[in-house]
Amino acid sequence: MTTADLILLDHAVAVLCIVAWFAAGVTASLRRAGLALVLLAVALLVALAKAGTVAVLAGRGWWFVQEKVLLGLPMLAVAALAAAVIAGPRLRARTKGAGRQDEVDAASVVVLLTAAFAAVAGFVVTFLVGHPLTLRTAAITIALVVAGALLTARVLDAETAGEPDAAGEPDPAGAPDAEPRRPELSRRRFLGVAGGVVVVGAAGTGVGLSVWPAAPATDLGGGPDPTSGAATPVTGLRGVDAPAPGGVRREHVLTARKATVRLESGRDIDAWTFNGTVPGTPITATQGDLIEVKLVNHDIDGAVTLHWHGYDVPCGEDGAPGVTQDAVPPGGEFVYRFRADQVGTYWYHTHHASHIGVRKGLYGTLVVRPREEQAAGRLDLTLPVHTFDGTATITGGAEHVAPAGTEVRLRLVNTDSDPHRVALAGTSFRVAAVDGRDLEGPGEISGTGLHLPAGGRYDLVFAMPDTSVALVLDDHAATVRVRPRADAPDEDPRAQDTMGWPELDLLTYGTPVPVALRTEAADRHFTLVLDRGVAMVDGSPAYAQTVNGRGHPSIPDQLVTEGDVVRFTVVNRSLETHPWHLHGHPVLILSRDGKTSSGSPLWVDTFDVRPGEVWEVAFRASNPGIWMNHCHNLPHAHEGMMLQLRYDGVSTPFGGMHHAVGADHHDS
Amino acid sequence: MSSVAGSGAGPVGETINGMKKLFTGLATLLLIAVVVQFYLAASGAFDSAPIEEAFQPHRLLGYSILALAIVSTLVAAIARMPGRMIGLAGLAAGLVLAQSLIREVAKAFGEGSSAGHYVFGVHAVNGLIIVGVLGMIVRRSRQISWKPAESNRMVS
Repeated sequence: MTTADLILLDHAVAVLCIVAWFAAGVTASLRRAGLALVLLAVALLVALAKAGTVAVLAGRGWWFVQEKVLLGLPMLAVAALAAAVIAGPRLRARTKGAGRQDEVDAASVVVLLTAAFAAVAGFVVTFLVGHPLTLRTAAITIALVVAGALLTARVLDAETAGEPDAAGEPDPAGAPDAEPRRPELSRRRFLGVAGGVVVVGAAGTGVGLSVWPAAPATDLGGGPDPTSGAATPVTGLRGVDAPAPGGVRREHVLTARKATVRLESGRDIDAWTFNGTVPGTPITATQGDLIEVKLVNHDIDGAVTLHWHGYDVPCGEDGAPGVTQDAVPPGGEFVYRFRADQVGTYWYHTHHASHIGVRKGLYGTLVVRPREEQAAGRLDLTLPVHTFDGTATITGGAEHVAPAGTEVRLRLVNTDSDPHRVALAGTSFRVAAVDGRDLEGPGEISGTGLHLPAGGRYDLVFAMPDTSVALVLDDHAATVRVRPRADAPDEDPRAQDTMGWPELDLLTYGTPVPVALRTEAADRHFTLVLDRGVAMVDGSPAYAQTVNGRGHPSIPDQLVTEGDVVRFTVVNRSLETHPWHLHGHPVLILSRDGKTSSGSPLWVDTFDVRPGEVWEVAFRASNPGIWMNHCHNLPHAHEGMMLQLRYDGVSTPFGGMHHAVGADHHDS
Repeated sequence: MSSVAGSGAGPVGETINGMKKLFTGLATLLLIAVVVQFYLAASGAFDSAPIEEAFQPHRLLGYSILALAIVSTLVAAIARMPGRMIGLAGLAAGLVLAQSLIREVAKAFGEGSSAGHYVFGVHAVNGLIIVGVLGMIVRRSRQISWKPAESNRMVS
């Protein structure tokens, strides 16, 4: 059973638990003692089952159960035990005819409903707060449950005391005989006062802790404190101004403007474009060239920047608004300059209000080829995948002809916020590169689907067979076909059921090669628990996408020192996929769910952490700066899942992420 | 403890009666909000923006309805409405919470999977049940909140 399945099962048992306890309480209040007794037994069994699912889930990692083990379960256990001890014997006595059958047994109803409140509270804490549980949350939760119990007791007190049912149905209990009740009333009063003290005390503690100073603004990851002293501003971390020997200067102007763009399907869309096209002008270079791009914002409301996704540019060229530069407003411009030292398939996109800008078309491809490559006799296609108005498309797709034997390279770029499934039908192939970086010894595969994370890239290579080959996106949402001759028929239709193919696991693909980073002790280790929960995002409360229970810009910065070996443990507690993306550095995948990566070293800039998964990755802090570290599902980043990784001794004059995020809020 | 809070007499009774009317008002507001919610769902379904964005108003109003339903239940309890009334208000809150759960469960089956679609269909049916429960609450609570007051007036 996968961890995600377990999380779902645990939720299901939690809901069942709530239903069972409420059912027991309500039947007791309807004076159906026999049924209530049965439901009490059922509720106790479900509560036990809940303890079981939590125990199993705990085996997958403490992050998945912390709030359940420390608060939800103990609260439920106490309430359930009280219900069993108090309501159990009373209900049994009633089924045997003891007591006044026509009167509601208030004590039983109160304890049963309190158990229900405890079950609800545990579930709500899991959903709304998640990881990590704070003392504040625990105190307020307990206060609410006890307050619920008191309120229930008060209501029942009024009803059983014979107040006429206001609905016009006279209370069958009839006139109250106050005399024999007196001792019970005073006991109730005592319990009421005691409960009130608990409520006020717990709520007071919770609120008191809320106004306590918040968590430190910096996470040291177990490393040394920051040094004091002169800091280098990110504006000083710019790219070189000359190509490598033999390289050329490649100058581009990218003008961000609104335009109506005709898709290959023939549909017109109102897009935001670079130079009037979507994707924007493709940028290509040969290793060692100097890339110089002047970004001009013609009429994009708000602002734009250029982020070179996966390209490890100097920090000042990174295009993070408010961190490495001011966002470029309409009429403004900014020049990016960096040397194309890294070979491979990359892309660029705006990083300002990117959840809107990228979706509307502010992106393009960046491909750097090695110096020695022979272009002749090859088919090299760059294929950005993008969803317009709910329709997934592959730009530059459609039909191509390549004679049998031609070496074909398909460079897939996922520019969406959701993953795509890609399959190549009609040939065996190799995944030569992932996120621009070549794999070691990638083997020939066929009949295997590929999971392409948001923001990720795969280079697929194959020798053209003498029959047609089809690249299939998702369930035939889009298709790119390469034919050996213009009149060649489509590929074998038997190869078309690509959705049923198994998925390639890149962690076991290719040849392992020793990498020092894999075994080096980490200087700093950061844990990122991804979840949903109520948190402040941009200064207002939201049901946010959270990292360690917080949303940007309140997530502590991660501090590193140049030269550090840094590890991330990324845990996904939520039911959504989170493509994790660190700017400025590729990360080496160490393991997923405790299973060590056993294939080719896998260096990526975006890795999909699917529900319930735990990934360990490492990188060397070798590119000083202040770098965004976020979920590349861009709406998720906007909803809080974004923080920054800061090098010791680097500062920003741009007001920081807070400023940037505030600005982007106004535009969206 | 129980002798003071008769409905209709004294300042406490006045407050309680006020609370009952407040509850009726809240329940009516909830019913209207749920009707608007149906409208937002339909308009979201025909919006060309991505799902997250198209259903943003629907989702926001949904959370507001949940909060309002919980507040209503508490008001009903404080106003000493009959237990059945409090139960119904609590049921409405539970059903509203279930709307989010249905969405999460459907999503867990995977985007675009047919099982997910079938599960998600329950969201609409549950929406209708919520309308029914709220309608019942509004009708009954109007009787409770205004009838005694009217009879009082007639007596005096």
